[in-house]
Amino acid sequence: MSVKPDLTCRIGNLVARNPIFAASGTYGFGEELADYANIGKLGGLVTKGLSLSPRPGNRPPRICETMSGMLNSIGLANPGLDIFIRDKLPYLQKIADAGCLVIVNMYAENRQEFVDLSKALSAVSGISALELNLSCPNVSDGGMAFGVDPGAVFRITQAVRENTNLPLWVKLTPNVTNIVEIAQAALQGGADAISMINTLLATAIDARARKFRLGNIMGGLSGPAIKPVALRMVLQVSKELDIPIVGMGGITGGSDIIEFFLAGACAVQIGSANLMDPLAMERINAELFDFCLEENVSKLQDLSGQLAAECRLQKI
Amino acid sequence: MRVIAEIMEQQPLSHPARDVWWMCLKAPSVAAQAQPGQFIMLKLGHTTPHPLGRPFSIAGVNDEYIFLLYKQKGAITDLMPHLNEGAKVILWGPLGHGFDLRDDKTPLLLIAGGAGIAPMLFTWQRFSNAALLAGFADWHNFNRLSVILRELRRFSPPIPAGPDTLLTPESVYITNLSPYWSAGSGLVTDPLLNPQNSGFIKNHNSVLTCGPWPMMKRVAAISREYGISCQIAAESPMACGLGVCMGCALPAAQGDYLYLCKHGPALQAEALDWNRLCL
Ligand SMILES: Cc1cc2nc3c(=O)[nH]c(=O)nc-3n(C[C@H](O)[C@H](O)[C@H](O)COP(=O)(O)OP(=O)(O)OC[C@H]3O[C@@H](n4cnc5c(N)ncnc54)[C@H](O)[C@@H]3O)c2cc1C
Ligand SMILES: Cc1cc2nc3c(=O)[nH]c(=O)nc-3n(C[C@H](O)[C@H](O)[C@H](O)COP(=O)(O)O)c2cc1C
Ligand code: FES
Repeated sequence: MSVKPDLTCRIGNLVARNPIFAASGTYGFGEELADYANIGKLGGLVTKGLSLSPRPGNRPPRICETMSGMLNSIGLANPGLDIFIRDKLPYLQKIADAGCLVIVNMYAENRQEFVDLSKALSAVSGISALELNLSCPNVSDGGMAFGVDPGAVFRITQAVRENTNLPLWVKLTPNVTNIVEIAQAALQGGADAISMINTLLATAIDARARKFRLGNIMGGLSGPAIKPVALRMVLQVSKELDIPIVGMGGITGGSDIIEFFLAGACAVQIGSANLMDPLAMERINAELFDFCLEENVSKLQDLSGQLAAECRLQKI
Repeated sequence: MRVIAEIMEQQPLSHPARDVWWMCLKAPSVAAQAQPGQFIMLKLGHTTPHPLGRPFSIAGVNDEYIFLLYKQKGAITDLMPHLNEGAKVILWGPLGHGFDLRDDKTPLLLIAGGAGIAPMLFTWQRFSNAALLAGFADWHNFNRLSVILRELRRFSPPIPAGPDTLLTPESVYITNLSPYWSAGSGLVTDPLLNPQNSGFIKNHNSVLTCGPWPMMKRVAAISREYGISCQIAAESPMACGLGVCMGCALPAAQGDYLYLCKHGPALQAEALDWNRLCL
């Protein structure tokens, strides 16, 4: 007889009732979907990237579909810290009281802004962790993403670490040659967990119109198309480093979560799938539960890193 | 509401191209709340190489049913005609803000281009004193259109045609650019420029329009000359339809952007910064 699978998961010191988190930028600040989805059932929710001041975002068109995926060049449009605290936080505090972990994803253009944001967010209640989005362009250093430079990753993580007691997740960009080196820098800077991956830099062209499909020309690829890349990167980091990994990239079904766990994740985020169906996470949650029942997985957490461990043993 | 809706019926509206379709779906909870100008997102299944939902205006409701009118344009709209009666689709809505239809906005003059007739039909269904003027570039199967008009309002109005048409109440006017069309051809805006129609136009308190951008721009300009308020039902690429992805941005008149799935799709023409629109 199979027992009810235990889906609770632990990310460092944080415990979530299930491993399913909404990924940044695909669930707004929660309230937008309140009439649609049962947010009360989520393991957690990562907010839209928040910056100190409001940001209008990029020139449209900002999204387009690609084969089994999508491109976005939203440009981190968001209302800024003050409006977040006044208008968005109360709802998040409500769902936090109901057991949904609330993680705030932070966007900044320099180290000081990251520090200011994390101080302000550490002073309010209801937030379980901060997620540093290191895909942002480093405006004070030529505009290259912070996340491609291990030195910058270390310095920013450390600066934020020194200014908050909240658990700190560092979200990595996949647009690098050596992901392990970047993850290591975050770990040394004091990260409690690594979130990976953000979107892959890409473009799309309309052959008939002979035009780019995005107003910004380049954007980020997400959705099922990127899952193999994401799995590979999670595996690489989990093989080499001892740090909790929150995996994401193209998850659309319950068995995808199992794959991320086997590669080394201890929780996952669902991104584009939320845009493709507002009830995606409920369906995926149900599929995960059924999968565990069928496959006699009594404790999901036990699967975490199994294949990474095998690779280590076999020195692959 | 996000529901699984059943396709009850589909029929082609365009002739000879057969690329414009009228679809009836059973979606009681959506039908009960839908307002003219609102839309739904439709998706054919979970696993497809085309993972995003597609936005469609609600073209009318009847009891537990909603109607869509769509034109084949690509991956998903090319698949849709192959769906049989009884097939199920994923659908969420009603979404966005519909037209402002308060009393002081009526009577309404509705001006549609091509598949832009969809939200106009729903408005026409709800307002018995609304006049409808529609233009089609390449389709005509107006017997079918009168059947639909009757289905929507249990009343089938006469369909006069041609650019020099004199507009009168209680008619649906069709203009056409099709070579198959013999009763006179022209742009949908032509009758609006005919001075003999100015009295008719002035009898309306607002103009509602949906169609290609250049057409809506012209309609907005003509409305402004008449001093009549103009609302448009706009389009922009969408992913979620729910205000979370921030993908559906259009340039706003006050600067920055508005988000079409939330602030629209029905907008006052002046809400947009037309100069920053890449038409
Ligand atoms: C609020 C709203 C209401 C709409 N209502 C209707 C309607 O009632 N009837 C109808 O026929 N169509 C309507 N549309 C347009 C319809 O959504 C697109 O034609 C459809 O998404 C095309 O899907 P596809 O997979 O067939 O084409 P794709 O293969 O995705 O694309 C084919 C072509 O259409 C363009 N396109 C794709 N999506 C859009 C879009 N959202 N807006 C403009 N161009 C697009 C693409 O750039 C491409 O050139 C509406 C759009 C919006 C935003
Ligand atoms: C429309 C959209 C907006 C996003 N905005 C953010 C953001 O503000 N901050 C961030 O760290 N990641 C953002 N992402 C990236 C996602 O959180 C996620 O890392 C990525 O999409 C991969 O997961 P997926 O394939 O499940 O979508 C965004 C993704 C999309 C599609
Ligand atoms: S379509 Fe996602 S915010 Fe409008």
